Amino acid sequence: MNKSASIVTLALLATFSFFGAAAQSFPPLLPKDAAAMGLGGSFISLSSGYSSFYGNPAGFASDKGEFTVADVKTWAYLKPTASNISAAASLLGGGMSEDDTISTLNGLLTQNGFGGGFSFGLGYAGKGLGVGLYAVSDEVASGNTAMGSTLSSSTMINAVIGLGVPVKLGGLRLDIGGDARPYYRMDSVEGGWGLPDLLTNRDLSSEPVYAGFNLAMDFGASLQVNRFRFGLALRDISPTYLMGRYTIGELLTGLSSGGLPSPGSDAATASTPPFIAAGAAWQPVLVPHIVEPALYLEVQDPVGIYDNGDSVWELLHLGAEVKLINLVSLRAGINRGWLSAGVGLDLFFMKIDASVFTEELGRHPGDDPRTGIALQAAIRL
Amino acid sequence: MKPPSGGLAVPLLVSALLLSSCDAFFSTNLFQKAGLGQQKTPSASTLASMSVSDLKSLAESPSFYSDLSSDSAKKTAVLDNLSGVFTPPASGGAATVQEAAALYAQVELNTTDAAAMVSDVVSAVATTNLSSLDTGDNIITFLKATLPSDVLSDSSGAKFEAAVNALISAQSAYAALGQSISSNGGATTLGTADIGDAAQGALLSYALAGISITAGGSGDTAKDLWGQITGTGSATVSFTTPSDSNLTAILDAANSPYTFS
Repeated sequence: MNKSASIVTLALLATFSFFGAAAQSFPPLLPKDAAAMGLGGSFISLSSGYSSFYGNPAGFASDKGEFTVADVKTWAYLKPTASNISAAASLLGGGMSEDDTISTLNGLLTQNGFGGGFSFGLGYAGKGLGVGLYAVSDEVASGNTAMGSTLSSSTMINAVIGLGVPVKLGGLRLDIGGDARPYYRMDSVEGGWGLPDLLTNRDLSSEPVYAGFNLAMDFGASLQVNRFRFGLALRDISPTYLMGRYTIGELLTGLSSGGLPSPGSDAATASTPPFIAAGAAWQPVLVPHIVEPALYLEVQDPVGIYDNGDSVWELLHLGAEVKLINLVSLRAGINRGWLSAGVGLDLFFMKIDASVFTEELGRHPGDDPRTGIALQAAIRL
Repeated sequence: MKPPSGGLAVPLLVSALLLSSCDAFFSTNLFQKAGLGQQKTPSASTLASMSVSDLKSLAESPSFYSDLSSDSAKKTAVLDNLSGVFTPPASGGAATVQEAAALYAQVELNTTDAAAMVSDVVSAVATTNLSSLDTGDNIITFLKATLPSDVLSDSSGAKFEAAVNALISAQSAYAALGQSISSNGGATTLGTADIGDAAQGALLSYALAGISITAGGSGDTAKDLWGQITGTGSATVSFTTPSDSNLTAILDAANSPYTFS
């Protein structure tokens, strides 16, 4: 790294530290995009179209405008073995005694974690503009033991308005984009809610939750060089913000009456650490329109090395895709060392994707894996 | 054009599942397998003087426990360091004492198969009520229900004995944790997950403490219990229901749905 790049990196890190100093950290919350998860999670910096709203805003500079009427994603944290699926079905079917529920949950929680999430949204991206709205929610229960298990919940509603411009650099094309993203987010308190307590009392309304508004900015750039594409996304740039502490009951009462309770004296100063992703894609010509392969490499969240002491190998995401007759996509990837796979169908204005993935939650490859399945459908015009 | 039916999602998902039908797909981390980016456990002399928070940070990686289980000098250094913190007169405040005691127990459990036994306590409780563990036969049935298959299939009994001895050793840490919670007005400084883990471990640790060999024993409780579990021993086992205030303090702090009473 040359001297000026080092100075820029240090300045960025110092800025991020300043923004997050002495604040409670609420990590970025991104939808589990089934296509990206099948590619080892390697598609944030290289995203385009609707996924630019939670990926790289440089996608707004695309010559092609795309209106997403509806994008629905859902995912489940569950190792999809026959016994786990059967256990989950029994659990969700209800009618089990408390002891049996805890016993069944025990296997699911301690081996992998159990939960899921969803996201839905719509918007227009391309021709220099990005305007969209998306919501994302993620709930997962996990622990080393059943009695030590906690349920963590995060929900965000985002509005995005952004701009993108293409810049000609000789024979190259550089797309630059940025957006402003006001959002409202709600999170379970640090560490989550104790599961034994929840199962005994069966009442979520008294559980504490943080909630608040913030305005973040996201920036990105994308460079096309022949069959190579390079992308850089810098997300969640914002100063600290205030998160009120409520019970879920208080928050729901406030929302149902058309307002929100005031933050109060026990509000927390919150920060969301900036998220950086840089990647490259290679799309060689094989048999045009019949067999179109692509390889992806992405480095995500280098700030985690500085903030959490993450291993440098925790940054790496690799993906490979083969698109057949412009209809079916087969995907495989390596997500921080863990394997993933997926398939996609592109049917005119409807796109459907599915994947199985394992993601690393610890600081070193192999420390704390979580397996899941993801599914998404989108109608685009 | 008519949009495709949502039923397409099912074959797509099935295809994805087929791709990943073998367990190796989910359980293999290629970087870990190649030894890339792994945590390095410090030397025994360094571990002996590390702060509780630094040891706790190391313990976030499972490799810490596997390194300690294969290096007894390192394990001893960590246990001695932690017991020096929570053994009266304790050198730190309530938060440090509670963290040290909880971590001591975790080291004992996670360097043997005791952690897997503790994890299965809730399954055992589903079939055997803790409040009816009043006979030697009942406690043996309960213990057997907590045993993972690889411990049961170890005909030498070495895995079982190591796990039982770890749980017995962990009891001093649970006692210190309960004592600190009581002294702190019943409040724990541990996080929700840590106190829950401690409560589940303490249940099994105190259950073992309630066992006594009243006749025909070899002088080694773990060995005698293995004999009872495999039906090859001649010791007479009796059980006294634990009624320790330190255990009660831990269970109350964790909002435990389980007690011995």
